[in-house]
Amino acid sequence: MPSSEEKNNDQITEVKETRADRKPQADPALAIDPERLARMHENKKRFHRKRRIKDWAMFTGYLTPSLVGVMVFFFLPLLMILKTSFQRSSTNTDFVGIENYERVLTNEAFINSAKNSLTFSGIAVPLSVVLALLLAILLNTKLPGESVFRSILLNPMMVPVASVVLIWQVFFSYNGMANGWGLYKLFEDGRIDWLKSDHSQLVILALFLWKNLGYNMVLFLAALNSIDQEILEAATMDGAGSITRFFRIKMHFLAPTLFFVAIMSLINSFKIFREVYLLTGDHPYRNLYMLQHFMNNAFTNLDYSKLSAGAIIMCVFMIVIVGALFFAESKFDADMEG
Amino acid sequence: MRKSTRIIAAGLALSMTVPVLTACKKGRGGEKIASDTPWYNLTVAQIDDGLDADNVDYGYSNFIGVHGDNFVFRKGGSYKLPDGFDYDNDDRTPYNIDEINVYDINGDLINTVNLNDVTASFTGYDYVGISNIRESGNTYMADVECDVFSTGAVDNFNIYIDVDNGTVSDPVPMANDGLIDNLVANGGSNERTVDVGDYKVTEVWFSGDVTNYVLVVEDANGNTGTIELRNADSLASVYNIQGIVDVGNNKAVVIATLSGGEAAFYEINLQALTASKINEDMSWLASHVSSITTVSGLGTVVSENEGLYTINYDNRSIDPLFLYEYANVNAYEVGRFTPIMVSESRAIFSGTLYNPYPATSNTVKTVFYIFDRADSNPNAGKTILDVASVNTMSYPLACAICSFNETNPDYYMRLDMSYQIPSTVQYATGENADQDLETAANNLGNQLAIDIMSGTGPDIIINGTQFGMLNNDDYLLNLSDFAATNLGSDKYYTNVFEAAKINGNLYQIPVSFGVQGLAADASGVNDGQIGFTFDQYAAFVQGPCNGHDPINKGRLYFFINCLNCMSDLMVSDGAVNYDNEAFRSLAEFTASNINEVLQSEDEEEYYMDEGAAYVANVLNVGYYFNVTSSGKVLVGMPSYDGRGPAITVHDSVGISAQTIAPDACKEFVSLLLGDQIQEYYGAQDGVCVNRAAFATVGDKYIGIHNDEVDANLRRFSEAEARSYGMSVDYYDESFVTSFEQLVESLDCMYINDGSVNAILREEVPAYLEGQKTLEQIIPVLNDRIQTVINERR
Amino acid sequence: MSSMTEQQRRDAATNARRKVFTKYVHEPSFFEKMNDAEREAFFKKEKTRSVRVLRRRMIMHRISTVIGILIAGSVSLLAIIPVFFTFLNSFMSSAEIAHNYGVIFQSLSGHAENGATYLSQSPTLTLVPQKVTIEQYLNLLFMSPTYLLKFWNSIILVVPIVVGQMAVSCLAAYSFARYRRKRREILFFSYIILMLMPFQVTLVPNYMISEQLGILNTRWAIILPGIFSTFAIFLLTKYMRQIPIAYIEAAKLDGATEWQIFTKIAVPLCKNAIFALTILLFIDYWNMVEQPLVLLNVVDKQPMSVFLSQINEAEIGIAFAASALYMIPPLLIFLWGEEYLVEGISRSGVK
Repeated sequence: MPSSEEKNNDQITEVKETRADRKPQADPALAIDPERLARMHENKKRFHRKRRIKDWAMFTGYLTPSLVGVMVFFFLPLLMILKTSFQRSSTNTDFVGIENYERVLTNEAFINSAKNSLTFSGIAVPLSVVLALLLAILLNTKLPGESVFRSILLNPMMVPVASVVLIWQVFFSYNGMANGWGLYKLFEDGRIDWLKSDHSQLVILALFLWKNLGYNMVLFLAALNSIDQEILEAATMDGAGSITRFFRIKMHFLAPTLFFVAIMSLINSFKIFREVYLLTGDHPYRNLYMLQHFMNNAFTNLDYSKLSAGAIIMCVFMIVIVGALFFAESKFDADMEG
Repeated sequence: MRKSTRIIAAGLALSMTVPVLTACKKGRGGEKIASDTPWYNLTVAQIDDGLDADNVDYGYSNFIGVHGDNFVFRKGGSYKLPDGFDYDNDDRTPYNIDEINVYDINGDLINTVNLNDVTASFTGYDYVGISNIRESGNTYMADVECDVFSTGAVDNFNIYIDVDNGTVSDPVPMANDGLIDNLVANGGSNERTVDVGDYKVTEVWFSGDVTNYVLVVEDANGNTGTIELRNADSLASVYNIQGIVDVGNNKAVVIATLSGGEAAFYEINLQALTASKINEDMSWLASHVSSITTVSGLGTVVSENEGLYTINYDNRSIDPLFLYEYANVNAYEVGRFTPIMVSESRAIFSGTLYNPYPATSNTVKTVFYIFDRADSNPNAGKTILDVASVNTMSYPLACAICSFNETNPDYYMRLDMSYQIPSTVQYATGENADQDLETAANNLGNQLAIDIMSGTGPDIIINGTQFGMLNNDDYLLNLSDFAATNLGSDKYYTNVFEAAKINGNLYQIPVSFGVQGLAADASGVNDGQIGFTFDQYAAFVQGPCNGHDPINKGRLYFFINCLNCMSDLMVSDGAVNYDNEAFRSLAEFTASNINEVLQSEDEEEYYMDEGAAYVANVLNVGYYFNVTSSGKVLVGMPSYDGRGPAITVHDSVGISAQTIAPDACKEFVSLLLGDQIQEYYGAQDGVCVNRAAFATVGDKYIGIHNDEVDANLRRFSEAEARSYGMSVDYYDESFVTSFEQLVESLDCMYINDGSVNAILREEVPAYLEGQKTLEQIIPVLNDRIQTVINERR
Repeated sequence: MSSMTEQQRRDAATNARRKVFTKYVHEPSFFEKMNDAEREAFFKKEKTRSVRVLRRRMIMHRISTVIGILIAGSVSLLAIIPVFFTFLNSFMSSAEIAHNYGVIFQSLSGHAENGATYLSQSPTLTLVPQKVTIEQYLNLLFMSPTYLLKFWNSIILVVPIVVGQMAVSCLAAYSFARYRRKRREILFFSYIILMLMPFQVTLVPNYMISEQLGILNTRWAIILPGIFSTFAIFLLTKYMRQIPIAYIEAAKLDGATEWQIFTKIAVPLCKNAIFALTILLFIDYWNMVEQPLVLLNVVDKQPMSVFLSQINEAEIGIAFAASALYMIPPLLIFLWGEEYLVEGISRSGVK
């Protein structure tokens, strides 16, 4: 009975021998000629390459229907707009460089609209995210009837725009009910024509919040629900108060959801244009004049070069904002993993 | 989103695809006249019908039909009544003219039949009328209706007129046409009979809640049958049948218009006597429905502004039969003529020559226009330039085109009338008629803009001022320099050109214009006063108008109208400011002094005649004479600074920025502004911008008026004539001079901006109803309208 | 010869992993030092004290619950009032509607060509009709087929879009999830940007392309861009990336082809997300207005959403009933898929 050590030694030797066997020059008995070996290497490489290509082909194949469609219906238009934004007009193909962009960027109407859109999104998105989070936390405290509330709060998404606009008009016109109840007293002495005053963005903000809070809240609720209870309990045992518990742990888990909700809110804050248009028409008062109004009117005035330049600028804005959000998210993720 | 979105996007799409795919250069290809384009030489033959102002009070010749190589006309009228003729008691019949005349191609009289003799041969009747003269075999047949007033009896006869021999047959009692007579007896009215292939179709119309047509079909053997159009569509109220087109196989297409103005198409089977509605897309024909006529010998023909077309039903298209550009003839004039005969080698039209001035004499000269096909086209090789006239064509324009084509060696102007609001929309009376009209006008403008941009549009645009979006360098050439060098103030009223400039750029030159203001009693206006300030206006309304506001169309109308005249005070240099005295005073005045009562049309007319003032848009020297002769003065609408009347553009011309021949186009513009053509403009609607023409037209109108006074005084004494309201005062030079002075003093343009007006309509009523103060609406107005202005930069 | 047993060592290791520190040194506790009498007294005191504490805690809990319900309740009420409003008002007679709201219908700015007219009197927001009639519904359903036609138009537009987008997106998401290379990430990023573009940006080019393809003014002009929209891909990719690689490896070892992995593993696991997406997409496209107006400008084919946003005076009689009818399909789908909705969205947001 060989001792274990002996056995070990044998094993090692065996291994060594096997490795040695692999070297072509070591054993002439195997007689592997260089040619055949080279071919073997080739085959292996080709196999890997083929495998890589096969992988690529197959996965791209899955992507193809979407890619084709997106190319045709989304990328191509963008390229066309890019091209015309550098031309003098839609048919006059003189290359005018950035003249159109200069015209648009110095156009006061455009500056105003960009400012309004950014301010509105800048206020509406954080507000809706925070409020939704608070609501979610509230509902998460084992409130009775939680699912009922959840369903009810998701309702606003389904109401047709026209009804909403109707109600908002009933409320906020100069002779509407808001003035009738004296809501204006919060701001000024006399009756306010809400949609034509400096407080117009508040009205639209209310509309936006009403529409989107439910959706955001549900997202947060679900995320909160899926946090591992064990960790929470462990933290409690550790002696962490509820605030510490909240910020340190819950926020970490919520971070990805936060970014997701932020992006969704951003999208929705741009979609509010439709309601604003139905409420105020082509040329609303200063505060409500948004980027889409500018582009809509450029379209009606057949000012196609302005339209394309404005569209590209809007595109660039989006890329910057979303890029920033994504960058932040990826950093947070890295944090999480660690 | 507007309804115009689709057209804009369509055009943009179209305009973008071509360059994107083929990288075309800007500008059009420069189509040239092909050598095989037809060309006709014109011979004019005047009919020798012996009607002239010396021996005739009034007279006319109407074309009836072709007979062999000759042409049959009916002459009517009255010989000059002798002085001292008693209009109440004396008999006029000896002085009546009623003849059938046969002329040859040169206008010489071949034969004549005096219908008065025929009428006289019917004794025992109180009234004998000959009508409905039509071809029947080798002779002409006429209906004679004889009435006895006391008994109410009506006898109908037919007579046959042999135009070769000049004889008339004995009267034959009218054949009882069975079917047709029965229908007429039941309330139908026999409109006409047309030949459709081998059949004769008589159209009988029935009025009622739902108007209906019954077609009586007579085949080649004389068998008759009826088709009721109501069977095809029981709900449609068919108002008029434009034409019936034979499509073979015993079938025909009935082209009709309904009482709402829309077009309707039915297919009838002449053998089986059925009718069914055509549901396929007939838009290729629907846009021409109102131009469809039936010409004897030619059948159903589409008579458009550019020429005659036939309906090719198999191809679903309109094919040109004879275009006026083939002869470089005045399309406006010949468009009024009746086509008599059109063949490959010859086309004959007959009609009366056009006189741009109001008729001075009541006789008209009837001519033949004979077009003979030429072997070669003398204009072959010339480059074609398109002149687009929006919605309407005018005689001076057609004249200018002819004139240009005769003299210019390299270019040929072609009339393009494709930019029109469809007649079905123009004359519609339905619920949304106004809105549809506005939309159609909008779409038209967009279409024009898109065509210009894409390079397929016209080179010259006439009457495009309503399309404000065209006024920039992308679409039209800036003609300020051209005006500065070629249109001096010695020859033109340059103040009108100045007023038409937008931000210092002149894109559309006014060719003729109107003066908009108030025609007010001279007693209410001080010497040298050119307009009303608000206080003066209030005083005027209280005083001479007895409290009735002449501009009585509601507060908002008043407000916006007056604001339009003052727009230079609100928007200047791209800055909008409504916070000024002018706006405030206008608003306050409107709110406190103007009543909301709107008046009806009858009331409007009454006040125009009797009232102390009315709103007037003087488009014509003659109109101005009317204003002044009734003791009124043309002053401006109420305004802050009491400014004078405003200029409204009537005809204008602009040159496309994409044209390949800017110099030729500028030559055309000079032609339009030249003495001769301007005179034609001035003779109708629109005041000339050309001083010389202005003077000529003024003089002519004075002459016309004085002649009329002569004629009136010949018939009545001065007192009598005055009591009848007829003109008895002679005009002299001073009228023209005062009008000239008025025109020279004009400096503001009446600007009607759609977007701005929309905002005003939204905001201002709040103030007018007393719910908001001026302080509240002015910032909102400033802001919103500033946005509109900013967008356009 | 270690002081700990094997069990204890393992416990320590587990605890270490859990980052919880537990002392294993056994010290007599507070209780063990007392004698029986002291212990009893202590426990009695504790009981009363804890009962008080517990009761206080319970009351606090009740109060906070009540406050919570109040807040949640009021927010919910605000959220649901318009829905109630629409349904209740749909039982009004048209005379009453005209009386109450006529003034507004004349002035909805969005489509008034001359600008909105001024609301000179206050419209009254009545929740409950004075006289309950089903006049509106009768008008809507029986009098004229146009409204039902529009309803059908909506359905015929939305269903193909939703189905098509789900199909295309599943495939694409699978590709994005399984094949991660740098270039793909850039493509994915650009997909997200596209998702954010408002309609006006690509309006005219979309129109042009539709015309080139010959689908303009047909339903395809709306359906095709809808099928290839990238929103679903975004969500599905996130979801699919969460599938443990172990499942896939195991399947591969079993000899499954990619397609089988896709259909048998990936899709079923994403079922929640797919349901959720269906609902979201349905609601989103059910409400679309701009696309039909521009790309499908044939009045007969307009969906209900466009019709509702253009209601003018003539159709006051059925305005509310039409809105109510319009809300029903999303409501139904929502109620049916609610569970899936909540669960589906949740997983995609959380890593």
